[in-house]
Amino acid sequence: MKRLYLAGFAALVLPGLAAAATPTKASAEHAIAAAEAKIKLSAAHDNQWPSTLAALKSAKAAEKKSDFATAETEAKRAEMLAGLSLQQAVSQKKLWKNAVVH
Amino acid sequence: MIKRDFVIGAVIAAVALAAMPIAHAGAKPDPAADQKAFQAYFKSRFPSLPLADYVDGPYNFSKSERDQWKQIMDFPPYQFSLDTGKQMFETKFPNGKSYADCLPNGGIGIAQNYPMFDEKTGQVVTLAGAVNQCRVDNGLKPLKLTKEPMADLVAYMTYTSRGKPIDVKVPDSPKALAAYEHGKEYFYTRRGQLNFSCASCHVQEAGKHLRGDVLAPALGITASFPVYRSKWGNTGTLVRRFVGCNEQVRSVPDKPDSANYRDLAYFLTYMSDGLPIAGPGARP
Repeated sequence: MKRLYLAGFAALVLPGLAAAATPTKASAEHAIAAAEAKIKLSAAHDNQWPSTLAALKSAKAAEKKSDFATAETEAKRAEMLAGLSLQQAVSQKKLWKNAVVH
Repeated sequence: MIKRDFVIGAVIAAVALAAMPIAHAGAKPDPAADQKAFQAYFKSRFPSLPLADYVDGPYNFSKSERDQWKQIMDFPPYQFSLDTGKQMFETKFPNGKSYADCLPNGGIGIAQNYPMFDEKTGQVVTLAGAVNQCRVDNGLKPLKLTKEPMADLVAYMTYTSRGKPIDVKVPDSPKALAAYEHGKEYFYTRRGQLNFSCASCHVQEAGKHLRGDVLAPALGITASFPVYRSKWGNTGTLVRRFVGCNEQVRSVPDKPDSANYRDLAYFLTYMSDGLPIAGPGARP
């Protein structure tokens, strides 16, 4: 009975996990789109980091070469960096006042 | 009775405390008070340094750099810029007019008044911006704001203001005050992957070393621009330095003619009111 459960688990879950872990053109494009959206937000807050744009550029270059794994990784890195710069910009909207010479 | 007084007192205190952030947030900018505090900060930080000497920036804090600079100034490296700038300034436009025709006082000895706020456009105008406006009004293309030939032209014009006290004004109008406050916010806002603000280096760490460089205090820092930098191998404008600073803290720079940079120059130069114009200068 135990073996039957294990076989069922393997048959149902593992292919799904494998599919999720294997980057595809669609998943890379999705990651790039998400990064671009976050980059647009940080640009609107006047705070862009060169490393963010470099990561996005790498992601797009990899996607063109059908290297979807690299494309997805780089796009996620770009999204993360854009998120950090956005966080910096938003927090600084108040925090800059603490540094003012009085 | 005591209990009632206590309650009333507590209510008044609570209302006052609640109102404080609102009052602070909506407080009208006070450039004169900021300037006084800014200059007082540096005076107390470096009590033996005369106010006028701040225009020499890093050379106040490193004897070896100061000695080298003095030797360099026997043959100022910006001399070529001055010559080129003078020639440009005196050359007539194709329509027969010249820079002297569209700038105040014929363009001579006016650098100490820039950046200035233009109420008509509601924007800060830098000296380089005024030069470009003059060119456009006379059918010429604007020059790039960072390097030669603009740097040469502004270097010559600044030279004609040497020794004159900086006299930037912030009019008591909502738009001028907003531009001033925007420049102030930009100056103190941390940005870039290294999380630095202009103030991080030029206020908090002023006079200290950042690797091989001595960090110039923000006070008087604009007075020597345009500068010939050995690193550049030519003369550059203040906005070129802004771009460089942004890049050094790993931040994508703004466009040279952006409101961010114009307002930053406005705030920063206003802080140095009263200090003598020393441009063009020479820096490592």
